[in-house]
Amino acid sequence: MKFQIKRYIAQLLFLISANLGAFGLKTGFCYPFFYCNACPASTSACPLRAIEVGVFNGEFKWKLITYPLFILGTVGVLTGRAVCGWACPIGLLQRTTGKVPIKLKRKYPFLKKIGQHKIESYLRYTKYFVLIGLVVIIPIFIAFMFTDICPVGVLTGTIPILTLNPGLFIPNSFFYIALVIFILFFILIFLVERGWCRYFCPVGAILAPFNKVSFLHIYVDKTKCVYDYKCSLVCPMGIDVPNMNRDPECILCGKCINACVKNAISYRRI
Amino acid sequence: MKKILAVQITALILISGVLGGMFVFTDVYDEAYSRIVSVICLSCIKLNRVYSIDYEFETANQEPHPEFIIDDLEKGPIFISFRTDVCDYCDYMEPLIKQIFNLSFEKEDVFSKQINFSDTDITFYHINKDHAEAELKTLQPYYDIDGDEAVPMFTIITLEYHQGIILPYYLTFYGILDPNYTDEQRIEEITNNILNAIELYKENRQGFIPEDFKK
Repeated sequence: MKFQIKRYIAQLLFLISANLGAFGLKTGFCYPFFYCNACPASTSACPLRAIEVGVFNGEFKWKLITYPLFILGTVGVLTGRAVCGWACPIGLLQRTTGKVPIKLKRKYPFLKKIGQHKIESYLRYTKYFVLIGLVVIIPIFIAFMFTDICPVGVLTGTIPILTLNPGLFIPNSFFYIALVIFILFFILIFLVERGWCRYFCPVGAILAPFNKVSFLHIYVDKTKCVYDYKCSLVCPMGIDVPNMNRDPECILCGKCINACVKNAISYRRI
Repeated sequence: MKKILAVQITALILISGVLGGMFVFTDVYDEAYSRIVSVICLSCIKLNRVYSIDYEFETANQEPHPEFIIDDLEKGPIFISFRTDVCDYCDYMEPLIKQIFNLSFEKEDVFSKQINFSDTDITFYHINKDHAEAELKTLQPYYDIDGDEAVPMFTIITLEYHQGIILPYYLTFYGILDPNYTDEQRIEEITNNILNAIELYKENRQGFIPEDFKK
C-alpha cells in the first residue's frame, strides 16, 4: 500500500515538473514520456513532435530524430517502461480512471471480454503501427499527422489554450477529428484499464523493447509461484504475470508485487 | 546473467554516450528549444488564430524599434515574413507572398531586399528563424503581439501620427488569415494592407524624424 502511495507521489512530482513552464522554465529537453509541448505550462518537447519535425517532408534532420530516441533509450535501458508507470502524466490520468473499468466489468459482465479477448494480444501491436505510420511515414510523405489528431494534445494543449485565451482561436480542419479521437480516448480509458498505454501510445512503443534489456525489471521466482493469478488480476496492463519474462508491456508499477502472497515477484536491478 | 549484463552495459554506454555527445558537440538542445518548445504549435492544438488586424504603436516587447528597422523606414514601409523550416502554414502562405511581391526565393533564405510595390519602395524581409543570424532571429518579439513566437507571422511597418509626433506603426498577422478565405481573398487582403500601409507612409513621411528613434 505504502509502495503504491510512493508511486502516486512520484507521478505527481513528474506531473508538476512537466508543467514548470507555467513558472517560466522552458528547456530544450524532450520528455521521456508522453506529454504535449503545446501545453501552455510545458517545460520540454514532445518526443513524437521532435521525430515528426525531424522527418517532415523527407528532410531528415537526424539530430532531431535521434535526440528523443536517445533520451528514451537511456531511460529505457535503465528502467524499461517504468516511466510509463511512475512518471507519465497520462499514465497518472489512466491510473485515476483505472478503477472505473474494473467496477463496470463487475456490474456489466458483457464488458468483461473487452481487454481480455483473444485478439487483445494482437491489438497491442497497434501502437507500433501508430508510431511508424502516423509519426514517421505520413510526415515524410504527406504532412504532420499524429500531432494533428493526438488526444493528449487536445487534453493538455487545446483545452487549456482555449480556456486561457477565449476568442483568440478557432478550430482548424483537424479539430473535429481530434475531438472525436479525444472522446474515444476517454471512452477507451474508462472501458480498458490503461487502454491508451496498451494499444496506442507511440512513446510506449519506443520504450517497450527496452524492457528486454533494462537494468530494472520485474522478476518472477517460478519456484515460489503458486499460479493463483492474483498478480495478473491486478495488472493494469493485463499481462500473464506468472509466465512473463521481461514482458515489453510491463510498466513496472509493482501492483503484482503487492498482490503476491508468496513474495514470488520482486524488482530486480540487473 | 553475464550475457545480459554485458548487453545492458554496452547499450547504456552507447546510448547515453551518444546522447551526451549530442549535448556537448551539437546544438540539438537549442534546436529542440527554438523549433518545438518556444513556439506555439498550432497543429498540435488543432486551432487557428482568429484573424484580426489592429495596428499598434508600441512594440510587443516594449523595446524601442531596432535601429535597422528605423533606417529602413526612412526609405519606405517594411514587410517582414517570419517562418521556420518545418511549418505547414508557412509553406502554404509562401507562394502567395511570392506572388504578391513577384519574388522568388527558397524557404531557407534569409534576406532583406528593396522592392518596388505600387510605385513605392518597400523593404521586404524574409526571415527563416532556423537560419537567421542573431539580429534578425531576435526581431520577432518586437512585433509578435500574441507573444508566442508563432509562425508564419507577417508584419507590416509604416508610419502614423500619434499625439503630436509621427511614430512607427505596425500590424501583425499570423497563419493563413481567415481560414474561410480563398487564396485569392488572402492575396487581396494582404495586398490591401500593404497599400493601406503605403498610403499611411506617404501621408506621414514628411513628419518622421528617424534620429528621434535612434539611441
